[in-house]
Amino acid sequence: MNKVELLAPAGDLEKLKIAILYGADAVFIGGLKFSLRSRASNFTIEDIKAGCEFAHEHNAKVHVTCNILPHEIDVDGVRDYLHALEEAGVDAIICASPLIIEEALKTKMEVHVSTQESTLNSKMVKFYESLGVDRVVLGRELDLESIKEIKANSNVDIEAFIHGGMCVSYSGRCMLSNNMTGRDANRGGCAHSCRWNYDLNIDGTKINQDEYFAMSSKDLCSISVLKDYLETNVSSFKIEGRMKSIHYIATIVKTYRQAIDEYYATHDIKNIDYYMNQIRKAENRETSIGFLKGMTTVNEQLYDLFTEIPTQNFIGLILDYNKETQIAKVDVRNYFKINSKIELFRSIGQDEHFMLTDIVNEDGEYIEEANHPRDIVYIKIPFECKENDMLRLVL
Amino acid sequence: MLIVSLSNINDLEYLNNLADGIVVYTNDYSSVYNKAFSTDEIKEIYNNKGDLKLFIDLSIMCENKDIEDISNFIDEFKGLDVYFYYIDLGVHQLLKEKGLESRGVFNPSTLITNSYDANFYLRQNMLAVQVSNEITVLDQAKISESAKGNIWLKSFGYMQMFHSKRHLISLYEDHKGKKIERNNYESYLREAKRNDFYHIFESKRGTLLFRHYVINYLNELDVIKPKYIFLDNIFIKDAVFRNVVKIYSDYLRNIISKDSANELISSLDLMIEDGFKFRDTVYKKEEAI
Repeated sequence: MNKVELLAPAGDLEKLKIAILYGADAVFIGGLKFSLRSRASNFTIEDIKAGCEFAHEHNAKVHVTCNILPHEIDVDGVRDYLHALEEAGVDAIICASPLIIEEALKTKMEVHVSTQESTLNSKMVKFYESLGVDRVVLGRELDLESIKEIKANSNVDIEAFIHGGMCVSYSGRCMLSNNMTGRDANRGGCAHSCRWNYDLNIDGTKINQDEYFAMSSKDLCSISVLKDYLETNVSSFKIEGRMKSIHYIATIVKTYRQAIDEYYATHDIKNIDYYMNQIRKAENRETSIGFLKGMTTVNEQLYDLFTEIPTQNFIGLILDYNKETQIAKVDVRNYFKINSKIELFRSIGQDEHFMLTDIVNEDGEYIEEANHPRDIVYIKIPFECKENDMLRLVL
Repeated sequence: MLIVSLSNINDLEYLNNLADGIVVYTNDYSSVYNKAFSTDEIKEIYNNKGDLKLFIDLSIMCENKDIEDISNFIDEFKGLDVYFYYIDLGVHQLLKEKGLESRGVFNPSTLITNSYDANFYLRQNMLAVQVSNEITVLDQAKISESAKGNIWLKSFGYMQMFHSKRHLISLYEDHKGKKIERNNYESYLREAKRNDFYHIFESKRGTLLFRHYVINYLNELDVIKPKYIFLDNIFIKDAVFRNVVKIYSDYLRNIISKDSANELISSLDLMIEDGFKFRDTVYKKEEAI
């Protein structure tokens, strides 16, 4: 049985490393050119090279998004850029424009057709197969039966989304952002206009009275149907969210890693509640299963657009740990104080709880609280841990 | 060639004198329309179309469960001189497997934004590809000039902004627990902070949003030079649309001047805007707002 690839987002080199350390088999990143999600596309060629080296040392792969739909002015330099990515060691290119697909096919990198093309049927997969691509990323509007059927009928890898934000429109087929703000969604500038507030007027009458009409959807979370999802035999599970924090990426990746590994070990995923609770530690938006079990209902929609749940329980990233003294050097990310119950969130292995007794600042002074993000402090952790493990407040 | 939407079978004779082709919408495979027709009605239209080319609209995003039905539907027309106007590349593949790909016009809405991509699709032996309306006239002209095949331009009509599989009005009804009196042709969304309206149309194939302004490329046709000039009637009253067809037809046949055509279009009392014609949009500027 081929094991599904767990593909995680990475908006920068730190996130790339975290995603891989917490269990991703591959990461997708955006370079400075030809990539959507512009604010999350910060990788220079040097960064990409460093990311590829790190990934390959850890038996992981790097996919680079080149999935804009270029205008005439954007097309120059595609070949040189792809060549530079190939030289940097990139494993796969994610693309939507035929221009980039055809140029990428001339390289040794794998070519993956982006979800921007909204591939929803086997005929479309066949079309891309005939071009010689290696993988097709499906649209997010399909149910599990349809995904399974497409996979069964395809001769290329099939990638599907398991977690993260959902476009309300078919991906690639939306001009709302461009029309309202001049920011072209197909060139990396989506303003998420589908998540804004609207009034609905019919025959001159405003229908919504006490709240706005909203189109927004809850984010996708497929943990509750993951066993069925695994049985579709798709090649890769994608987590969306290159803009997300390292804590989010670590939490979501590790949770799916554990659930997937449980399935391959036992052919079952028993404790869904445990996995859902893990995800809630980092997920600040409401989630649903999207279209995975069929047409969406009101339960998959988001009408209160102010329901984001702040997740302040990520307090620090461990930079170093001295086994003899049990002192950890911590990069502070959120406020915490002594006498708090802390969870050691490990990249590999079980998480453990302890009471925080002391905090020491960089000047060697005992302090009551760590209240400046990115300060360095030292704390005692009574369990072995290592660089890039994380600390959470137990709420 | 002037291609126009058909809403009424009784217009065929009138259109025969003015246009070169018609687009008809189907009950089962069109997402948005003023009037959709059954298979039998489309055959009747075919029998009465005269010299008009007949394009059948297949504007759904297809899933596997649709493919067999669409395949059977296409087979109903296989022996006839008809063309297919589709939005999903899967339909192209289906047509190709039937040896009919040269009867297809690919309209992927936003996706064809440069000449390389247009020529890539044209190399697939499609009859024509629809250039995006989300790019400037200069880009459209460059694509058309470089095209090694036929370019289809939506020259007049409301511009589609968004297509969701979700039934957004029905879902809102469920959320509120009460029924809403529907009228797809008089339903609008207004963004809360802008005095900016969008037609909202919900069909069994999901929800579509259209800009509240009509786009009109009559002034730019001699720059873009598309092979197919498409006038889309969605949300436009039949009487007004007939006038639009007449004005375009007279202009294209040099019966009236561009100035006269513009004057006549202006007299129709439609809200017309330039859309993206002269407004190149921002590449990678999320941080700007």
